[in-house]
Amino acid sequence: MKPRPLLIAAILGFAVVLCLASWWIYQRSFASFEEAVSHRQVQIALDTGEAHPVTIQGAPTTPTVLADLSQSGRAPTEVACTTCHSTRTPQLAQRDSVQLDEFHQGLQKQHGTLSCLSCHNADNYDTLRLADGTPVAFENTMQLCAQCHGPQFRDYTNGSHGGMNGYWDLKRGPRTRNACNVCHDPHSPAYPQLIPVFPPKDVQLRKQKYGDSYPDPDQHAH
Amino acid sequence: MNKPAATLPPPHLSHLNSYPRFIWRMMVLATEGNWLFYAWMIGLSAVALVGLNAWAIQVTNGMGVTNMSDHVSWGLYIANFTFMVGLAAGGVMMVIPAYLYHDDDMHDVVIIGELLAIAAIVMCIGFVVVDLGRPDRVWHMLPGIGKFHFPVSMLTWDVIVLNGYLLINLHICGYLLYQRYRGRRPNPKIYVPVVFLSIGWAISIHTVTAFLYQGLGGRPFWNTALLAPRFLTSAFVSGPAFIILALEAIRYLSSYKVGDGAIRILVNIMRVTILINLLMLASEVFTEFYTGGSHTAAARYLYFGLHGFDALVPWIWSSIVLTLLAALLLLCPKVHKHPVMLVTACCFAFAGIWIEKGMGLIIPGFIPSTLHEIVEYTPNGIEWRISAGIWAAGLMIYTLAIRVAMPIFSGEVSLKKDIEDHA
Amino acid sequence: MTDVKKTSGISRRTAVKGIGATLGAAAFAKAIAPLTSWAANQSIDEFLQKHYQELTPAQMQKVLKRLEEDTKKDYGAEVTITDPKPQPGVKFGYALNLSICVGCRKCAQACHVENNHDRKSGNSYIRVLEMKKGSLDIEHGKVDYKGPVPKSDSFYMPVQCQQCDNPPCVDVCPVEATWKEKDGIVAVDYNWCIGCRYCEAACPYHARRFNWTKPEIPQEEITPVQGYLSNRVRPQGVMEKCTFCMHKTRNGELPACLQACPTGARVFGNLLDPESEIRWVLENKRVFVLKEELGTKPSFYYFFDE
Repeated sequence: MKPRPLLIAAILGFAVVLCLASWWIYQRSFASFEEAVSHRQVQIALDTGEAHPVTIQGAPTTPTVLADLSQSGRAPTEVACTTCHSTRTPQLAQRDSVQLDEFHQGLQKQHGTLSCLSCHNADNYDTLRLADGTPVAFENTMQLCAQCHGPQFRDYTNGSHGGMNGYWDLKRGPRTRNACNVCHDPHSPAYPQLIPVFPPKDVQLRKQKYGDSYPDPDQHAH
Repeated sequence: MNKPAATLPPPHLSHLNSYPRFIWRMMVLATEGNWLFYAWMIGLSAVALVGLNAWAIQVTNGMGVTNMSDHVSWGLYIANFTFMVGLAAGGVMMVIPAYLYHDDDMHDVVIIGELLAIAAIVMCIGFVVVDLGRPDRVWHMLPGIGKFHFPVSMLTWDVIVLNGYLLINLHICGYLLYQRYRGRRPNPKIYVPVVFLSIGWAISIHTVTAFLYQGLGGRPFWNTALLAPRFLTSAFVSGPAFIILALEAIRYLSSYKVGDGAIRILVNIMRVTILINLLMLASEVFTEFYTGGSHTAAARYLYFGLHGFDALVPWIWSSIVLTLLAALLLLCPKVHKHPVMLVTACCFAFAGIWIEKGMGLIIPGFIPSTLHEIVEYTPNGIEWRISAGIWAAGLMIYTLAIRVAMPIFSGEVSLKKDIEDHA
Repeated sequence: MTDVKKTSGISRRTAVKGIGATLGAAAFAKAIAPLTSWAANQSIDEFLQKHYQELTPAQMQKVLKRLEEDTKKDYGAEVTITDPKPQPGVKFGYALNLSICVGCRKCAQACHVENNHDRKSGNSYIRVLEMKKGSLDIEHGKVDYKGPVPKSDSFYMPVQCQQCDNPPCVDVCPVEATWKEKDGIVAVDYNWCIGCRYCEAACPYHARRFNWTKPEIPQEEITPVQGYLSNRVRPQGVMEKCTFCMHKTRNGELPACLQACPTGARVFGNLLDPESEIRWVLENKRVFVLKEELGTKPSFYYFFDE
């Protein structure tokens, strides 16, 4: 048959193109793999001199209480904790918030089995105390939280717990971070439930296109 | 490119003279016919224009006018594209008996299959273009001035094989018709290697198109090695089915003789391929449902519905029923002697494969989405109009091609007669 | 029916053909009429613009200026578009603490605002899945959950672009309109993408989005600090995706989704810096990536507190 040499040439040519192409594909995917792996081993000298600070915002200040001074004919006034507590006997066994009367009524406490004086300092109510009795200022409550919540504190100091803003690269800008109490009420620290924002609208739009016959995804039998 | 064969008497007209005559004669032929031809062409033009208008609206207002979404990002267009690639590949099922086994009955009508390949590829390109968000940037794909991501992107392979297949078939058909018109025997050196190339190439277009989907690891419904073989078997059902329908139409609407031999061979091909296709379907369905697990969610959605969503269930079961009925009808030993039965079987097979390779293959790849959300998809008016428009344009091309090819191929129109008429 | 005789019939037939052709041309013009309003908005500079990686700095300045003017014209907003480059020695990584995430979707909302997403479709690069405790199978996830969250039997998993080291979306793009930058971000040139959506089909994380229509954003809501490869307002008909807020992070800032997170479930930083927070997480937490079996090698990690 005459056309055979042409045919063989065509087949050979096709085979060469195919081989080249497969080699190229292999090289590409393999090369991208090696590149990705080798990245991790490269030691790059980075300038670790941190030019910008990390500020912790929202730490509490020394609290006051609104005192009703109507019996002495004066307007209600914010008074320091020590104003009353310096003259009162500390209630060492007080654990339950329902037993609170006078100023602290209605306070919700849901924080394990701690008593008030686990954290509040009976010697000076304008400060708090660590477990060993060392007084600590309200501004430094994170120290107090860290006593029990070690893993969370470790995660926080390593940047994987607690909201932040600003720069990931501190050489180029500052960062602000939240103190524990910004998200966690010290008396009831569980993160509160909330209503999610921004439901996916595209699925809703599809439903409008299809009308009422579109099944409700809420009825999924999961 | 067309060297005159040495064994023939020298031509009394140079190519410079005869080729323009040939082109002109084809254009004249294409605009002539009986009232049925005109009615058919005017009807198709109207549908094509409606489609064109819908496409203009889609380009202007964005693809948001379709029912596609970020969840189901390919729809009716790519479904039709996939089916069309099969139809184009199916044309080769006339070429193999004609050239490989020198079947004379087939040799007389092989051009019908080759022209189908041309029309189907043009439709493929049409379906891809209407699926683009930015058709104005198609030039970005041109090697040299744009960036052609070859060979990494399977889509670039598809561009090459589809355009290559188009060129191959244009060359074969154009050369054969030109030589017939000149009253010469075609030089086998010029077209036979290309014919053999076209056989391999036909396999490649549908294989590469299957690889488009098959290579996507994030879509388990497509990520099966059986996809390419299934593409080919279904192509070799839908292609012959369409050609049989075309041959029957030529038989009844024109005076050209279409031998029973060609139809019998095509029926025999379909008898085998439709059963292999059903077998592969069964194999795939077994793997999906016996294995279970979350990777089969798309198959569960397709065949039975998932969590109350079942838009594709009627489609796929119609497809299975149609294909089964077609297979049963084709099993009748005398089916090629009963035109009504044969046409019914071919219509069923064609429709069944159209659903299977389109709505039944492309859409469930996206449902549930990669994050297992179920967002359903049904084509809307714009998509139906554009798709109908492309089908109409493709049928116009096919009709015109046959209208031109049949008189030249049968010798009714030739250079000699034209010169005599003028003289 | 094909014999052509030179009789008077020819001229009649020719006349009918002529009328038919004229009518056809008129119908064609009518059919494509909607394209005129579209064509009026196309500029020749935009049409001929080269691929991102082939633009010289001077050409890029021109492009940025043109885009700023277009935004002013189309949306009435004064914006600054820049093209920040990857920093040497930086490869971005992201980690997400699933024990802390409460499913409030504030990250998705911040993404929507920061990245100038279409308001009508409520687009966002982040989808938050509500998952039942006891399973990591996302088939049991749900995106349109309602509050209050977190529910005691569920955890929440935000999913966005994983900035894969072996990204399937990049491989499939026929025109190289998407590629991996040196700092690990998979970027899209919105002026080169042809909108075939093959990358959207290839991505296993539903991270890519298509601009089905021209984005609608009120003038006063447009984020004015914009990046060419990130949050500038995208044209109609092209793909887009999360870029880890490239316009912020390449200038050292934290991404918008992290800044919006009220619980600090998100950790972002430089994978190549051994002192970074992200490295601390990778070395001290048991992290996992989504769909690891696909070999995409994400730069986005998930972990639970022990």
